[in-house]
Amino acid sequence: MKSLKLNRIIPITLILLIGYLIPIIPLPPYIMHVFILVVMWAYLSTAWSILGGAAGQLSLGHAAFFGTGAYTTYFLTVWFGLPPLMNLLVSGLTASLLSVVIGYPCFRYGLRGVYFALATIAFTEIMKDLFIYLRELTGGSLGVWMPVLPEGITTLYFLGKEAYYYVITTLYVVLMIIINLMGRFREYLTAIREDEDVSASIGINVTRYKLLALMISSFFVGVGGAYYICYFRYINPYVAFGLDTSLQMVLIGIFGGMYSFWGPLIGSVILTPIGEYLRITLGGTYVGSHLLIYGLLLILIIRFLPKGIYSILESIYSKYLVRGG
Amino acid sequence: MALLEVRNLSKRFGGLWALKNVSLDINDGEILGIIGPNGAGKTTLFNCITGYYRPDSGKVIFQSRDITGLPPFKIARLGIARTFQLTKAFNNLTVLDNLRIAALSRGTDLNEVLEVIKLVGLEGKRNSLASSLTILERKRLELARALVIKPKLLLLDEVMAGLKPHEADELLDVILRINKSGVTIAIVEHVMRTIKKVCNRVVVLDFGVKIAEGLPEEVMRDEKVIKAYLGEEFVA
Repeated sequence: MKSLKLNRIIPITLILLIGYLIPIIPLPPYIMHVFILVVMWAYLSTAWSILGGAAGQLSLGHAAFFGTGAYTTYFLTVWFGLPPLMNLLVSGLTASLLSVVIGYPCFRYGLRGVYFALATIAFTEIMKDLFIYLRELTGGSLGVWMPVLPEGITTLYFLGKEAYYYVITTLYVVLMIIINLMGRFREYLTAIREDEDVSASIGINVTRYKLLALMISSFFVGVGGAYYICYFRYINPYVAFGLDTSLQMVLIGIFGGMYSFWGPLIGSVILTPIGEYLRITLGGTYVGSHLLIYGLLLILIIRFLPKGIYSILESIYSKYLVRGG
Repeated sequence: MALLEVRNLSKRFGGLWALKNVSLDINDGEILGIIGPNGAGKTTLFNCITGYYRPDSGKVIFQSRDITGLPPFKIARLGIARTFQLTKAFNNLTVLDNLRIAALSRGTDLNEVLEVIKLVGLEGKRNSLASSLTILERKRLELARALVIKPKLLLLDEVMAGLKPHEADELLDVILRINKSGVTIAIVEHVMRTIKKVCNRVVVLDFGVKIAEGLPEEVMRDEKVIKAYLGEEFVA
């Protein structure tokens, strides 16, 4: 057991070091931007996977919480002049509260599998239409811009990209630490994913733990949405509540491995740069063709590695590192 | 003394009465057999007791407490464990992990889990995935999981079905040992042989109605029971 623990600590420390040291290399801003996207999508997908992977509840509507987070930060910053760093937290809480509205009825009355997935999509679409329709409040389909603020950590407004990279990396690390502290709760989620009836028969309150997983998951996705608007400075309902946004979290999770909390990071490290590269090389000339290649990659993964890329690493890891160490 | 009382329990699915006004007691310390032909309502009865179905009318009283309509997890926490007729498990987890999670949920010590594994005879399969188990082993896992939550009442839903006679005998021994350790057991069964061997008392259901109750030998001579199982012409 001891050597196994050590074997885990070493790679984690390495990943952390590499993660935090990247901005030391003088990279062109666009490359730095891609690194930010990689960590941001890893973060969002990991947060999604608490519910979608660990608890096995296929949410295809996490954009609802992403968008809520983004707009909450906008409203608090612009209407009330509150500091965006604090708004990040409030945005997470708002998203988490909102998730109960959709989650409680679904889980209480046993909406499972595809029916739950459909309910989450419908909910997100309603949110999107609402934000488009309530133009006076939300800026409608034109979207909203964050104001220019004094540079600094409390305003989350920076001129260089490096600071934004550190912020999202820190958010990701916090998320991973919290996930690793969940202990027993994670085991219950595994049980619920495997079989809800059996879980209930051994005294696990299935409804409560599913709801908790959803609330934690949507909290972090809400914070992610808040980060998004602080970084991009602009958002509209089509991005905030778009099916693309929801699916991106899901696909990265499936690709990297959604049953492991490291999976989404691996998924994002591979998929996000490929997506960006395909978009800038092919997206302009043959509109949509980058999605074709993206889709093909996913089909291959789902066909040959249903547990994602992580499962390869895991088998290598247990073969050489654990036995050797 | 009755550990569990079922009073006038009814459950219908559309126009079909799966249970109609069924009343029965499960006494402290006994092994009660619940038998009946296919579709008699045996599994429905278990599902109503354990909260997986909400009965249309009637009451379930456990240790003088009305538990009708409570959710399954609460009933499990009160001390009623069940097995599933079509075996269910956390298929992608090992046998040990399956039981470890059950133990975690009820605060059972890991040493006790290991004892239960030994009791049901799954020692050699501790680290096998639940999905790789044979039918017999899966039934044993069902039993082990129910035991790990340390129930006062254990409801066994056709744990013998599909087993060869010598396998069934092995499992029967285990069930007797569990009963001796102080757990009350109700057992749903098709196979008369098993019922005769272990049950103190038998209740017979047919088309959702209780048609007989008593000692195993008595019940098996009962006209209504023979009719339900074999048809009119076999009644002497």
